[in-house]
Amino acid sequence: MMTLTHLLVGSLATGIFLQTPQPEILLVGAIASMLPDVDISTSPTGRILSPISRFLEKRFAHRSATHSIVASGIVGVVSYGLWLKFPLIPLSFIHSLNIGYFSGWFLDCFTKSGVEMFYPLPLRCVCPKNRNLRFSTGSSQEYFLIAFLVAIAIWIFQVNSNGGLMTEFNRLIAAPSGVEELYNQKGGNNLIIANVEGVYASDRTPVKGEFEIIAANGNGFIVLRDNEIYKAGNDADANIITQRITGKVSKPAVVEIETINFLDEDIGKLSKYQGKEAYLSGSITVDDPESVILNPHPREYQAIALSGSTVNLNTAPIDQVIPLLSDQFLTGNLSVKQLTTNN
Amino acid sequence: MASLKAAQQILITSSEGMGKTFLLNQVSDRLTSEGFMVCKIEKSSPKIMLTQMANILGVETKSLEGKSLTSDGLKAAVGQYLSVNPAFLLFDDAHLIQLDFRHWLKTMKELGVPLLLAATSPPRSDIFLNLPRIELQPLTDYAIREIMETAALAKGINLKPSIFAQLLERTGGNPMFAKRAIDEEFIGLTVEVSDATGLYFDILPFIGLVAIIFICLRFIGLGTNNTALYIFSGIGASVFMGFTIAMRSLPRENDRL
Repeated sequence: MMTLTHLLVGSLATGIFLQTPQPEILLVGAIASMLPDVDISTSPTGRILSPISRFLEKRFAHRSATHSIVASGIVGVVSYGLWLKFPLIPLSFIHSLNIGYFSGWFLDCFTKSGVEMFYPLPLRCVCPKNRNLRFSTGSSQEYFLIAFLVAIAIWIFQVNSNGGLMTEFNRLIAAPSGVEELYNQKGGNNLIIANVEGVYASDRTPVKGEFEIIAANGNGFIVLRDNEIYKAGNDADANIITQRITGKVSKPAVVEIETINFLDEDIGKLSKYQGKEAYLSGSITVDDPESVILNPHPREYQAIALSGSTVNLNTAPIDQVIPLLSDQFLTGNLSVKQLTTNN
Repeated sequence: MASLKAAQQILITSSEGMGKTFLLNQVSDRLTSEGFMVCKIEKSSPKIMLTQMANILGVETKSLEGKSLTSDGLKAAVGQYLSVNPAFLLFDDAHLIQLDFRHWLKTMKELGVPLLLAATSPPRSDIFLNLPRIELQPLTDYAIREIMETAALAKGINLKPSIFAQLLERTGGNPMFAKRAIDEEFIGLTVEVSDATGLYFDILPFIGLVAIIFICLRFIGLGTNNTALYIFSGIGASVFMGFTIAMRSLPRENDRL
């Protein structure tokens, strides 16, 4: 295969496996895909690494030892071993080196002469079996392959720029499981925005728009828009019944969770969170339940519920809780989830 | 040599061009130089082969009346001679020898006559099943490179190590293809594939295996209620399975040159 084909396949394989659009990582994969051809001094890699290629070409057939699972294993052991000993560069570079190297020699299976994948077994691995249908280096078929690979590479680059193949796929099928996966993966370090299409459960009026995900709840999500909280999903208690839901990664955010104990104390302990994006969960006993007046909106999520003298909070915004319980003496534990975004 | 002297009867098999004839010639020369009686017979009609053997062994090929002996007569005369006089019988291209002659060789084997047969992919029958078999393995890259260097030197061409590395790709450890590669290089032919049997291995089953992995992932997606994984792995399995089926349905290569 030509150098260009190797470069394209190396970067493409790296992009697919590592789901990254970072050019430096793709470049490492592309260059690594040319490394197997170090076994011959006339290849670009062989010319650069001349002493190694001259040593190898006197001992091995072209596309044999360096184009094998054994060679990939050696490259893997050496590269990961060195990284463990001297972690000077990000691990993703080591991944791309190995992916690029493997894809570089595997690509040659589709050439007329094949590769000795199972070296030292003297078998030339090929695909397809008919030699007339395999690629010749520099043939017109290879140029068609290059055109196809360029198209795929552009698409993969675009997909990776939007968060990767699975993210794009989740966006396409718009299933809650996809958003859940995204929330689990990125929710610890970023705000996740859900794009929801559906209807309000209360009156079946349509709803469409972007909501900030605060927490996962059952098979749905607690979401926020314009200081109003909803549960979006298909659970029985959902406020918004979703028809389509997709997620996207938004601003970087830090999530902090703290447990606060009250022992017949006022709410002063929570005053440090006032004005911030913080949500309370847990059950707490109040001394004067009659003065706790809830005024829930039928469309919104019931984050605060009163049962006897116990107030149950489930992802309740702190700015709603503090005015409600400011005159009470509280007993119990509450967990506070604070989201701090880095603008 | 030691095997032949010890086992008395040996069959050498390999694919075309692996050096059976060369080996037979070497054995013949060595045995002759050690003073043994050797009958190295080329494939021909049974009567001609028997006549050749009789001539080498000094067995009379004519009857008392001066008539040439028939095949059966020659078989009896040669057999009688070999039953009392030690001689090594060497047959090249034994797979081409006619069945009735092979049966006679079987009789010779039972008489304890030393036999060395060389055959290319012989059938699993008669004398070929009776004899201990040595299969010639592909030569190492080092040995093949040496053969190519000698052949290139004989042709008067000076090839770089990189050319030898490329030519080695299509030899499959076969000396005949090694020499042919040099001949092709000498006349400037651009050849990328080899005719060596058993050299190429189709990796299509492994690509099918990737499809199976995707099918397994599909079950994981189903079990974990991950719709995206379920559909994605389904598409992956379809793509790889489709590729495998498409490759399988490509036209087959013509067996003829």
